[in-house]
Amino acid sequence: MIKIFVTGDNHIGLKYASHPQGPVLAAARLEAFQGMVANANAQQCDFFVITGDLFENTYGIAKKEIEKLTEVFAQFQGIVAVLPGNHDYYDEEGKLWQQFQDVIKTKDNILLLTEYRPYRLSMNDAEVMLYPALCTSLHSAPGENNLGWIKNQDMSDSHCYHIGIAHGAVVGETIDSEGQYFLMSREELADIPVDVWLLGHTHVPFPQNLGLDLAPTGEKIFNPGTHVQTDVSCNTSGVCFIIAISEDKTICAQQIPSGPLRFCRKHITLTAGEMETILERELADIPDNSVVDVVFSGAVTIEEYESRASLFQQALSRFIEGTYRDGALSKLISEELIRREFPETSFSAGLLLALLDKPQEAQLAYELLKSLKEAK
Amino acid sequence: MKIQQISCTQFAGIRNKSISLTDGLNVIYGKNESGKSTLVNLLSRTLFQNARIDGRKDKEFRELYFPGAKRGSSVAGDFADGSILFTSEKGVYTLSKEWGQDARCTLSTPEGVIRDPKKIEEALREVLLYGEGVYGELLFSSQRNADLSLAAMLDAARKTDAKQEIMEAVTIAFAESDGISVDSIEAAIQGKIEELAGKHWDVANGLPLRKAGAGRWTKELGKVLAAYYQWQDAKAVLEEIVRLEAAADQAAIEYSRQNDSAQAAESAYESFQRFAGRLQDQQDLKKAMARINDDLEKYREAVERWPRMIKGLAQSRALQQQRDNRMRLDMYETLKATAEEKQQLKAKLVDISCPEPTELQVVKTAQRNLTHWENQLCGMNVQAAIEMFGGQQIEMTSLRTGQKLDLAGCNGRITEAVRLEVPGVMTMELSPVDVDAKAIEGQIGEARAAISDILSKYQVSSVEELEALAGNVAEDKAKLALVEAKLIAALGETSFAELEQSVAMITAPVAEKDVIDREIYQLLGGKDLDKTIIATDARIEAYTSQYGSVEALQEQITEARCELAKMQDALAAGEEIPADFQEITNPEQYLAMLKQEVTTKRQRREEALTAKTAAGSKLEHYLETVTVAPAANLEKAERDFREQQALLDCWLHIAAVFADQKEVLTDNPMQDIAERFAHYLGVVSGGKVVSDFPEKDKLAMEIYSDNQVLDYGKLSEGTKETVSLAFRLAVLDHLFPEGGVIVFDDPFANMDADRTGAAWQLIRDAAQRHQVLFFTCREDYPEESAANLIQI
Repeated sequence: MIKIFVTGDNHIGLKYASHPQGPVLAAARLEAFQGMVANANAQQCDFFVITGDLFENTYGIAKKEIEKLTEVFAQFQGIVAVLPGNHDYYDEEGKLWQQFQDVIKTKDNILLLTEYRPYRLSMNDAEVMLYPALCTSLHSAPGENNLGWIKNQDMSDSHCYHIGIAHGAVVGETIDSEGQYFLMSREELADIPVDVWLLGHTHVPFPQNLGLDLAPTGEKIFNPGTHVQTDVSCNTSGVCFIIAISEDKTICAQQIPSGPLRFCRKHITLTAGEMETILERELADIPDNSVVDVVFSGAVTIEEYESRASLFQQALSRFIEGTYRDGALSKLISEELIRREFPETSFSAGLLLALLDKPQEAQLAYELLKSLKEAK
Repeated sequence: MKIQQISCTQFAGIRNKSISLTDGLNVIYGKNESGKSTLVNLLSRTLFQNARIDGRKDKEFRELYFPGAKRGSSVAGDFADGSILFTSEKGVYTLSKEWGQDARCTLSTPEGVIRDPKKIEEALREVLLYGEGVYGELLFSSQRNADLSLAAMLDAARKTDAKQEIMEAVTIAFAESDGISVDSIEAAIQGKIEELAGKHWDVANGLPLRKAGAGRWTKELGKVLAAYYQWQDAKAVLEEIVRLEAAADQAAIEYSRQNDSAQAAESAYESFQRFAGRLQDQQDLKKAMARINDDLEKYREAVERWPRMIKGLAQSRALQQQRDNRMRLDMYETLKATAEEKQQLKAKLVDISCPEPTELQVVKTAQRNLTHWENQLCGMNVQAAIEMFGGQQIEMTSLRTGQKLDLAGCNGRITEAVRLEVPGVMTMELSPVDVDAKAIEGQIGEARAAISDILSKYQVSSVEELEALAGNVAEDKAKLALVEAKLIAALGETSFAELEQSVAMITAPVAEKDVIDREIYQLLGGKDLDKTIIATDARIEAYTSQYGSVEALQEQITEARCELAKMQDALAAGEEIPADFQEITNPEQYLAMLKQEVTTKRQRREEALTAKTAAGSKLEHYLETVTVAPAANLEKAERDFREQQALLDCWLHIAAVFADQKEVLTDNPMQDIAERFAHYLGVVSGGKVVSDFPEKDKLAMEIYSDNQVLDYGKLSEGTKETVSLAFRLAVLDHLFPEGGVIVFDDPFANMDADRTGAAWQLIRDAAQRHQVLFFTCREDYPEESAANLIQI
């Protein structure tokens, strides 16, 4: 039996430039590998496979980051196989992989898959063939992928484990309407007689029903998603997979939580007199290790409105990063307030009353009229 | 609405009080501190104060109206209550409120009793028509509140400008009662819209207005357009990145393609190079085998044809001999007579002397000259008459012929030159004039001698015979020539004697020609025998020259077959060369072509690599200039833009609502109020205080007294009360043309007697149209008979 720890779409080097806590978020992606390698060792995995997009890009990755990462890889007891994805596509002339290859010269357990050929590896008496469908560009020609050469391979040796590793979109799993992300279909993958497919590119893992314990799945195609959620558009927790292939080619799998960092954007509609309660209720389920961006709307009392900044900041302070926009939040301009502030017969009162069903407009008009009144 | 009864259990200082009211004028009187103003407040608070009061916000209410609320108060009473019984067109209503621990509110309507505060509020609104603003501050204003209202009306912020202050004091009570002019609101809203839309935003289409010539607006953008430009900039950054990424991708894909192509070319070259030498050997071997096969084919043909050709040649030659013999025999027979004729002619010509052509010519010339000369001697026409004497004979000889002429015979007529001779006597020659007869005679003699010589030579007597002789000889010679020609034509260079000799040598019998021709045809078909013999002979000669002999050729065939077998073995040993390569006929040329292909494709790969590196650098350099996260920045910019756009939409909607509200004002209620106000002001002041409205659509009023514009500092307390009374009545008339309710709480306290009288009359008149609750501490008003008098 062999055991493979699988991760991908790690995007080391993602800078989070628009985030106040950008450096913290960027570091979290790299630091998570410590736990992943420790877990892989603890689970006695033979291989640690990265299914592409280990790095964010091919031009802006600091050598220090590569060194740090490979130091962690070096702690793995088995072989680390790295597949270039579309973000960190392989280019022998490119700086990224030249530096990477330079760094791993001193590490004997890291294998960079750079050629379209089978890689034969031996591990604990097991013969393993890796079939890498690596990327050599950010995008593919429409509808093309890199599986072609694998289809012609002889995989009849049943004593050998045949592992396909590919990076690209999968029909039904990833949106790739123009087919420019090395689009593959499940049928196409299934027709290639590897024992297992380890895929990358889709940040959301599939299959999604893997348990936390190793168990047969009946699946042959695995995509572990990203190890740490990348941004709010990718609604998933960071996980990795462990795949075990027995001698009779039965496949068991489990998922390993690897990145507690979560990104969350919430639209919270506040109502007058309940601002604090709603805020507490809406944020209650979001874990502390989250990057939270809230868009507030609705209408609150003047007192609530005046105190909103401190209240929001306090409510969001427990998160790694908490930001909000409250342009759509307004003071509740009630009939009572209008009557209190403006004579009933006044034009101002009439205008405000006519705007009552539009809280934001009522507030804007109210503020305007107040400012005019105060300027008299 | 008409109020029938006001009552309470306890409300401030009054307890268990109930007063009944009627239509028209109700005068409620009592001493100071008897609770008149409290009753006024009870009325407005019962109508408008929520039953559920807020400890902090309504602290003042609690302190004013809860009997025991004041700190240190010994009075019991932890609540206040009030009840109003009133009527409307629909029927009788009773509103009851209790403020305190057990706050409650009940409205009894003709349809039933309501406890829901919101529904009570809606029901009251329907009956009252207006809210607390109208009732609390104007119509049900207590003494204290009336003072406040008046203060509010007159207490302008800018006290130095009386005209403005008075105008504001009036307008503040109504549409511009908050001191904000409609125009200023409109201007402020437009200002907000302009601040957002600027000058160049197409609100309808949500886009910038088209600018003459491409490019962006740079001034007076407005927040929306500024945000739009930022959004577009952010979008452009991302688009540029996408474009550069696509270009880099394209270049990478192209490089990959060229690399694959170059590697394939290299592989093809290397692969073929390994087999090229062997393939060349194989090709050479095949060529050699082909050559040997060709040779063998030739050998086989030669070895087969050669003996047949020898045999055929012999037969041909035999037939040729037969044919030649037959031809000789036939020719001999044919030419035999001709040859004899030739001999005969030759013999004949040997015996005959034949004049030479020169001789013939000489004879002919002499004959011709002779004729000429004789003609010269002829042509005379002389008649001679000769008489001979003496018997002398005269002889006449023709000089032309030399013959004697008979004079008698010619009767003395002499026609030619003659010599007359009398022998021994004389000679005389008669000849034509100018003719040298003598000379001619000599010439004639010479000519006749010449002719005679030749004629005698050939034993002929005349020129004609001579010519005939010459003709006969010539004819025989021609016949001889013809015969000789015939012989030559038939024999060629062979002489008949040789023919005869060869014929003599033919000993064997010779077949007839048709027999021989048939045999030739049988042997050769239609071919020419001689040519066939020559060709066959040449071919045999060539075979002999090339191969020596048939035996030698057979040996050569055996050797070639051995060599071919060896080559086939060698070829079979080289079959591991790939089938595709085996089709290649010129390995050397093919290898050179592959090498050229490698060079070309490597060059293309280099170019693709250069393009890829350039595209990558371009992307990298561009990204270095981008300091923000492009996607996040785009999202933020779009959100900012949408917010500004939404804000603009809000203000546009506010402007639309504003326009609707303003439309309602087109009836200009101000004008109605202002006119009524001016009227009441004149009535109360006895015409001393008047108002003027320079602008018809505004309550821009000026107040005069004795033609002097009054400023705030000159207003007396009595005038303030006058203005207040006039304004409140004007508003009441305007708002309730069918009759309403108004409360006056000691409204004339500071008026002089004249104004008091006029004001009191005005109130009594108003009581004809409205229900008036007149609160006073004076005893003289209750005497008014038309009033419902209530003492408290």
